[in-house]
Amino acid sequence: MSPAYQYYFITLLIFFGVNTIACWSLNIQYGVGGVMNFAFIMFQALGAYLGGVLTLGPSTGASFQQYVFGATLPFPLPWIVAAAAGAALAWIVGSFALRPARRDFQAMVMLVVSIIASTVVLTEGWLFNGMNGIAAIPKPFQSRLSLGEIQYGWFYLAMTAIVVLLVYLLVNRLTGSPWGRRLRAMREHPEALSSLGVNIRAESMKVYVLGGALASLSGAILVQFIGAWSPGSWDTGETFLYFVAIIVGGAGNNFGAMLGAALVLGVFEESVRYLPSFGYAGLAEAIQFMLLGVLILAFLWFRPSGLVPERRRRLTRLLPAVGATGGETQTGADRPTAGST
Amino acid sequence: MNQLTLAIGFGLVTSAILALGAVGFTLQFGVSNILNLAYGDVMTVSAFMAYLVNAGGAGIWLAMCAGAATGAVVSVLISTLIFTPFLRRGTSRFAMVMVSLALAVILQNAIQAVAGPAFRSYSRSQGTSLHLLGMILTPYQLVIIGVAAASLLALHLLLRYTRIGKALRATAADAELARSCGIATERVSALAWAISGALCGLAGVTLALNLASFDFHFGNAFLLVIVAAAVFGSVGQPYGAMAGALVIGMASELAAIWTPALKQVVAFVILAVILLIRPAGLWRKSFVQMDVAAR
Amino acid sequence: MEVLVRRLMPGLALLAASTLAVAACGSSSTGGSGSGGSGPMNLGVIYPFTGANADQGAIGMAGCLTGVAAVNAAGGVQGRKFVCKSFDTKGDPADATSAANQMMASASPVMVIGASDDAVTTAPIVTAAGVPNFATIGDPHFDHQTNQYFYRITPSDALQGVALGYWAATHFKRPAAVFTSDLGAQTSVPPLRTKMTALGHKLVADVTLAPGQSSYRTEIAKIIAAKPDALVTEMDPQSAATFLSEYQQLAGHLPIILGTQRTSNSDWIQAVLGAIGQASYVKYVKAITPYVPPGGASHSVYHHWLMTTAGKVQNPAQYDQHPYAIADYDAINITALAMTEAHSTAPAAYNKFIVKVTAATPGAVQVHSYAEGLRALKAGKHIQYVGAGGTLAFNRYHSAERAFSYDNYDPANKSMNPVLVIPGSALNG
Repeated sequence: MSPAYQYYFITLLIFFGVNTIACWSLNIQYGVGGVMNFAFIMFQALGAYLGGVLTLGPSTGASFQQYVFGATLPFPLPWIVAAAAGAALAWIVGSFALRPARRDFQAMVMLVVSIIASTVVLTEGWLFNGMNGIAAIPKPFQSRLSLGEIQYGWFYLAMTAIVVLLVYLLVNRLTGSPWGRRLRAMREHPEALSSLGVNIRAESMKVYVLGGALASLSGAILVQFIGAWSPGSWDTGETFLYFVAIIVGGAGNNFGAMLGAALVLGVFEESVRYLPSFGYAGLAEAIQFMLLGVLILAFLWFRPSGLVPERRRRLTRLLPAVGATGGETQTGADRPTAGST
Repeated sequence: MNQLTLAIGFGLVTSAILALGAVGFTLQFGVSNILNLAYGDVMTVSAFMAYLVNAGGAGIWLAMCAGAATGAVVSVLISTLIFTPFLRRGTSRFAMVMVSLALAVILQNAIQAVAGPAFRSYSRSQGTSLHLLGMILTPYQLVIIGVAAASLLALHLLLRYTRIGKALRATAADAELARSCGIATERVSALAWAISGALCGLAGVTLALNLASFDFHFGNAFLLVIVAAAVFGSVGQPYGAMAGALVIGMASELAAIWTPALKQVVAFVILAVILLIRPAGLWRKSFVQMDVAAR
Repeated sequence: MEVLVRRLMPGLALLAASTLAVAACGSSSTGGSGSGGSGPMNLGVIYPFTGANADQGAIGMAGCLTGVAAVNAAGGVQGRKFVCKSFDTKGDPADATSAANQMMASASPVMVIGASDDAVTTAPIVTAAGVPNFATIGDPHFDHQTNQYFYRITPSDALQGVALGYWAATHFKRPAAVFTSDLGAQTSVPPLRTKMTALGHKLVADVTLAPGQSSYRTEIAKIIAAKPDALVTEMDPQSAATFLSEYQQLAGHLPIILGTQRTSNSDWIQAVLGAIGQASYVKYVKAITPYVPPGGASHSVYHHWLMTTAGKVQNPAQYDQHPYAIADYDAINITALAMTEAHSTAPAAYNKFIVKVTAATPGAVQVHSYAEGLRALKAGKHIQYVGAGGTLAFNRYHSAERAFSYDNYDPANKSMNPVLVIPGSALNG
């Protein structure tokens, strides 16, 4: 494989790793916890901006960029700070966005917050350099290692893969734990659970904060590889794409989320580059998006649980003495789909 | 000329357009319990249809009627062909948001594919501005305010004093109970979509008139302000939507005196603050009523 | 552990399959090859072709196709023809990165034009592979760049701001600045203000608008109260249409509108024409843009070849005076001439000739097209290529210094045409 192809391949794999972490984050919030985070892309953007300014050094105006919080923190501090900031932002936003009891209303509030954030960042250039965004972000360890482009790419891919593995262990553990079961129950039957004394808002908040941290982490990893970030990268339509990935792949389970990341954010997005261009500029893309909309409707109609449905968790496993008749859960209740509740 | 009274006058125009949009949106929600995020694109389609009528030689009044009719037809179509089947299949309320989002994506890109990226403008004569009570308004703006006021008044009279209006309100409050009382809820529902679709079409045409030139994505860009106004006044409540439109329209014009770049942000922040105090919007204390009704 | 691997297997298999498909697609779509072969040579055209800045892609492609038509008609370079291959950045740094990587991998271009605002991410990828990159990016970030493979053929936003400030200060008594927050507000306005202050003037109003609003009347009322006689502005077409039509309604007429290159694009013209009417447009709308000498030997060659692209480019006449399309066309001619003088199509070999064929060295023959330059080089002379956009003198940062012009609107060809040239000396100091 020629060097250019190798580099392209590495880029796609790193993007896949980043998108996997992002999809797991949204999956925890929406697939498992039932929180429709329509402000998702804002968290990824926060992580990206912080990952950038914390390695760029203080804003001196020399490179014609202005931004806040400039510093040169050693790796992996920018990633850690980004994740922490994501958690903090989620806590702040969740404190009022999670107040309405209806999930679609929560989604609207989060969407509004996301738009407020993008407008403010765009208008107030002192925050993150407005429309032009931040650029020339140094890659971690690049000067010290003095590797070639390709070798450095493999190195960064390896670092990304390690983080993906760590995040996987975390989310897998959590979703299989009793807390995960409680979250799934909360997603399906919030009124029943709240009458049992579970604080729905608090549990939603926990899931929101965790997801926020992971989303910001994914942004930080991405930005230190591509070296730039601007409002063009976090258009509110991007949140929609991530939701599509989860729905197509299968909400509620981590493997489905990863599959969605590969198929929708990887294959579908990249495949457009290979289509022949026809008609006027933009026509091909308009048709592509129309097909995407039709695809989502088709999935929501024919296969709302996604390509990889969540595993049915049989109650019988917990109550062996009761036998096959007692405790057997029905199709609608315990098997969560994108379409129920 | 006092900045404040000027801004109030301009705020009235923005609120009028917003009110048409928000009341239509909230009606659709009231009768189907869905947040229809394809609403903005139906506005765009209606504006384009009105443009075709206008370009064919008709005056702006006829174009407005064409827009309203288009909005009604398209809304009824999407409700019977897309929303109702999904609802019958048992799709959850918040998954319906994804359905309406997908529909919005399809509509907007279809408009783009057919109409192309070029801007369109209605042909109409400008007319001179009128000075009233410290406000400056052009004849067309007065027309817009008048159309909005007339439509909302008509809606109010319909809901309050006619049998159809009562049937609408009954269906919105509790569909099953209404059905068992002998109300043909499906027909009533279709009527509600038609009325709200007409309001949607009117909102689209008046907004396009106000913008002077428009392209395929202007309706979608305005959608979030409409949603904000509707949610502010408790979505599902037409009078709440009118109040929400007034508050948000005024707030953004007044904010423009001090921070023009952030004027829309101010409107959204107001929404967020209201939701902090009253999570179900201004008109309702809590969601309990709504959940019981919406089965 | 096996459970983990078993569950991950299908995903990994899928990923492997898709990347194999990608590699297969990529290799099969490569029409041309790099420098070593004998077939056609690929030129990478990397711009946003979709999204908010999709017009840039159309402009870049028009310039590329025109240049390629001109060069190929003269027989190509060493018998090899050029081919334009487009790649879409979608206006987003992440997509720009994968677009640039895909371009380098699948097309192995010998030269790249692009990527306007996304050049911060794509240029490093292109230049790291040792391929010359001609960019039209206005970000002042590149004003002092030192990479030898990077060339900027259009003026920096900072310079545009200075030109606007100069004209506003010397021609109007009460200029105001109105920009939307998403365009040049941060890069053009500060130099504008600085230049005005240096000339002893100031703005009577300085407003940043939120783009795409349904009404700007309150903001307009405030601006009208300051009684400006000119508005220096850069806005997207939608906001401009709404703003200018409302201004006209409120004030009864418009002040002089002093726009930029962005406001001279055909989509802007079309939107605002519909909003304020042709009479107002002709009377009030002006622009300060990079100067394109009208007529002249180079431009008529450009015009000739531009019209031949009619099948592949929508309405080519709209790019007749467009500095960015012309800049891309010039870049291709320069590349072809540099390759010819270097007797090689390898980027590493011809790169240093790029500055040579455009510099005014003593004894150099001025040429106005590739065909003319080819003849001069064959006769053993040194050449100075004078582009359709005027002479291009690359400074030591590989930025071509360009003049600006004051334009007005010509209803006959629906575009902005230069009336007066602003000399470079006026902008310095």
